[in-house]
Amino acid sequence: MRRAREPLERAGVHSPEVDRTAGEAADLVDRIRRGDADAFEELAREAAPRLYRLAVHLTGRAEEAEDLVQETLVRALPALKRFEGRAKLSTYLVRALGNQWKNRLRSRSRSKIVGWLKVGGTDGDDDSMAIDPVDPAPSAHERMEGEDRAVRVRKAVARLRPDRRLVLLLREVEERSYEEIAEMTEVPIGTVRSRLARAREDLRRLLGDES
Amino acid sequence: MSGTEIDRAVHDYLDGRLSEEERRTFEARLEREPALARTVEAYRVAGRALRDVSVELPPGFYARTRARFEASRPKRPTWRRFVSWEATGLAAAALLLTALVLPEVLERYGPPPEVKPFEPPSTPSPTAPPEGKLVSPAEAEDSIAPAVEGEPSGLETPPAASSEPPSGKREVAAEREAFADYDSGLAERDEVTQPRTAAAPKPDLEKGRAGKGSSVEAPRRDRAVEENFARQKKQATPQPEAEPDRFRMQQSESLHESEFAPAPILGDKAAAPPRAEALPPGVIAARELVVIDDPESWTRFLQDLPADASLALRPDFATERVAVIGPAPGVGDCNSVRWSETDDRIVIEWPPTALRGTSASGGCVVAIPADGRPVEIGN
Repeated sequence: MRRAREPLERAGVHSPEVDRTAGEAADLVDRIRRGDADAFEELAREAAPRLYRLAVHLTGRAEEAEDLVQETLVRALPALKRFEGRAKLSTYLVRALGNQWKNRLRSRSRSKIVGWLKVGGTDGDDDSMAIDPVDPAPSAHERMEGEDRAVRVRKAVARLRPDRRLVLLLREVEERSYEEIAEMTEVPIGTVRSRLARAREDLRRLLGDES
Repeated sequence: MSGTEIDRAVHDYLDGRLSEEERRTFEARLEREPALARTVEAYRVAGRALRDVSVELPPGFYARTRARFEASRPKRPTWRRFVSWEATGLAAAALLLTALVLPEVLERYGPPPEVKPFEPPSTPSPTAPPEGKLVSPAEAEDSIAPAVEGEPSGLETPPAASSEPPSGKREVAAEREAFADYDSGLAERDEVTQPRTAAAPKPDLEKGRAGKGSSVEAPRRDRAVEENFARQKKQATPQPEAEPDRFRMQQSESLHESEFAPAPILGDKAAAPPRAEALPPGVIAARELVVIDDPESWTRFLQDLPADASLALRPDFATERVAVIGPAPGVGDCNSVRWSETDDRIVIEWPPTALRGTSASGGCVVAIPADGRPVEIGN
């Protein structure tokens, strides 16, 4: 199996690796729990690049990805009980980010309501609602973006079902093993396998349709 | 090898999960079967495209993250800044020592002064609660005030403590009762405004919400229900159906086919299952659903709207689709629409009062994820 860091470095993701003794790591975690911002930033700098990359693919939007990563770090790092090595920390944070993202999806599903659509007829109660002009045409910026392959890939990923999307990204982008993905997403390996197969097929179809 | 086994082998091969021998066998097969080789290559290309997308952290990311971390930490009280854990420990030890030594000192230097035992009044106050009965601050104030002024309290003797739950439980019970009242009121309103057959079951939406325990949503629902109730009361006299002008929504297994012409093609359509019960004449079931998932269809949809249509939505079709559902009796119904999701579907939930309407004058538009899951109306 390929080493995980190579493609990530090729894609511009550099996570600084710092060798620590067990004592140093324990001290770092303890300082974060006590609210030491320097200690927090030290660990955040190690974890954020990979988390952000995953979040961009999950959410499809840079702003939302930043917010998601920040929230994950701010919540998960102080809750860390002990530092058990970089691999464990990474697993812990990816799982936290995935859960955070799923919570957001659920929350959005409860709150994202749109509006009343009047189709013919008359309804006196509708007078109070202002007509909001809608401009469905893409902006010049969006048209430029539309030419970008990276944007097309991101859009295709965003159209995958959330559960499949997460598994696909953990495998293809994070290059996690099936076992790690199963641990991170808290599903059996058989489910990981089937979601991955379907996600690949969906992505192939979507990218094929785009081109 | 079956199709499933081949499929599994493809992904195991891509993910490096085949043994050396299995890999050689599979590669030999790829040479023999160009179609299989093309599939594997297509998966590889898609995966590479994903990995090759360069993602850089935005400038100032760490400063913003750090600021957020600092803002999230609870502020230490002022006194805690000057009192360390060590000092607290010393104080506790001193206190303990005092507690141990004090009895001996008292014994040596004289007995403690005699304390007169407390004698309760012979006639208990009529407002005093029975022993063991919990009294809320409000009740306590009520019970004290008349006694001070020397007037009869007018309060009934409270029941025995064992016959009534503690105040906390009483509050929960009261809340439940209030919700029961609310629900029964809702049912009554449904009966008044939208008559249904005796055997008609209560909408599943109610059960679903109760199951989720969404008491937080109850006030919002209540407001929407009040709005609908007021509106429907106003529309108590059935009005002639307003036929959709140019755009018509897709009608599922039609209960009132005469009221709907066949729907135009607008993106993917997802027809909801038919209702099992018949509706009174003139009442339309809110069971129409159209899913629009591309900008072109959305543009056509907007162009087909009447000039006075009110719609505030700019879907991002990269990540979203639009579900158009209706008809809805009033604006408030759209405010009460929710959608939920499972791994394999998205369900649009209508408020109970919006299940049926006497007008086909509008609908609701909801943005949902563009992930290909089927969409259905979940009431």
